[in-house]
Amino acid sequence: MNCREFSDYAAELARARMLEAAMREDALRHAGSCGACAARLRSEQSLTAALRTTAESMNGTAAPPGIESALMAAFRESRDGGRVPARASLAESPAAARVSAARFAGWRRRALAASAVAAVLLIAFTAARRAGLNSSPALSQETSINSPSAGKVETNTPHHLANNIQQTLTAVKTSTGKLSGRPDKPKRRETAAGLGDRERARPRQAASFEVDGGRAVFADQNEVETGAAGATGVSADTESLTDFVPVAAGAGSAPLDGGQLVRVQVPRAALASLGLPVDADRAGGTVKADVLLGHDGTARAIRLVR
Amino acid sequence: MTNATSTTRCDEELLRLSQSGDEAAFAELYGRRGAGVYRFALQMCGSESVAEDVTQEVFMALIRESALFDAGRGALSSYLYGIARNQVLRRLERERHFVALNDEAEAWGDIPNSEYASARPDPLAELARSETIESVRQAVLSLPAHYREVVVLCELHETSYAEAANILGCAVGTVRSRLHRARALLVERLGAMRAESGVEPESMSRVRCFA
Repeated sequence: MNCREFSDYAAELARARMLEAAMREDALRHAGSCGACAARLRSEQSLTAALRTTAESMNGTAAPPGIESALMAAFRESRDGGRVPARASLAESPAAARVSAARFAGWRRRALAASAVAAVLLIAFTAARRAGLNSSPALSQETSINSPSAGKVETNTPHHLANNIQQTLTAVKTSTGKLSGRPDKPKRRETAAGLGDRERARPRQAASFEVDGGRAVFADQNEVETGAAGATGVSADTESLTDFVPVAAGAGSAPLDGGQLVRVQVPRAALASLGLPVDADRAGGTVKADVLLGHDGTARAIRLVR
Repeated sequence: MTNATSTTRCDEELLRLSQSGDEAAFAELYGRRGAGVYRFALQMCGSESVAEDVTQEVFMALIRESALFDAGRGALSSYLYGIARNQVLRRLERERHFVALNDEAEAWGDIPNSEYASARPDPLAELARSETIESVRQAVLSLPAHYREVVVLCELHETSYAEAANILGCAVGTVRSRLHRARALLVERLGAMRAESGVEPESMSRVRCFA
């Protein structure tokens, strides 16, 4: 046996795994005559001992009792013909609560930063549009791809009300909590039943809305209320949305009395050019955003989608 | 992974009873396999909260979709580990966008250290032991996921290559080669850790031989 062959069996020797007797003897004989391979064997044995010590140290480690209690409750409910409880209803440990809170805070910080940058992008887009550009090719393309109903869901605006988008947003937030129809915190749920399945965000459609008495009313007659997922065809189960960030369209903006919510893709490179940290591996990609367009076609607010 | 010997009923029998509504059978199955699944998740991700989540998800899947288990494709324990592995990998992919929390990073070593501190009389030996466990914990967690999982399964759970291959959905040869490479990485990293801490890394150093 030479050193290369010994290398193949050193770990097995150290782990005391079953080896053919002749091969084992060959390996040990080689280690006896080769200092480097003897050192290699000692190293492997040392590692094996460390790993076993580590494994032994965790022999008594188990999930907290609350997990079993929650599972047993779920089992009983399932057995009795009830619907198996959602994951969220199971026990959550204090450690999990701490982590969730910290993650949420971090998510919010990032979302706010991204929203701010996206708002700047939208301002630039709006300015360019007002300067005489009919449309942004990139935006138009994305809209047509991602918004199958775009262009056919114009609202029948009753023309009562609304001063501007900021007032509307404020009013809606005050009365209903959120404009977007999402819960108070971003949802990061998964389909536990679909183990092995990939989470998929459902295709997003454009939606029209009217402004009525301080509430945004979408074309499908769903009022946007806190927790009313689906008001814009969005699966709140699979997406996280930032708050809408009003876009300062400039003086003279027409009052917002209706419009469209469309999903677009914002190039990461554009975000990077504004100084926002962007994953270099994905710099060529885009990020999803929902843009609130007024009837005059100008962007009024934006939110990022994750 | 060791076969349970506390009762004469095998896992598959317990599962069958569970499917027919036998609560005690389900409880026994959880008691038999829950800790292993939890430890696997904990060793893979180093987070108690994630390990708890994964354990819940694995057994919730068993409640909801136990019919998906095919005894012809492997043992129930492998099936459970496979679900746990999918859950862990999914979470690891998701969690890499978040900043790790220090208190979570300590989770792996808390229980064993405190347990053995009272059980072992030699404080120096215990200190060395605790340091070893902590070093190994860090080294294992630093491995890429596809190396980490073979180390956790084959070394920490004493799973056979065949069982590990079944859990991971790959060939036995792949498990063996990954373990070989993973061990080399562990030796390298543990040696580096000891060097950083001022300990002569003789026994853990990577030895190259070109004879």
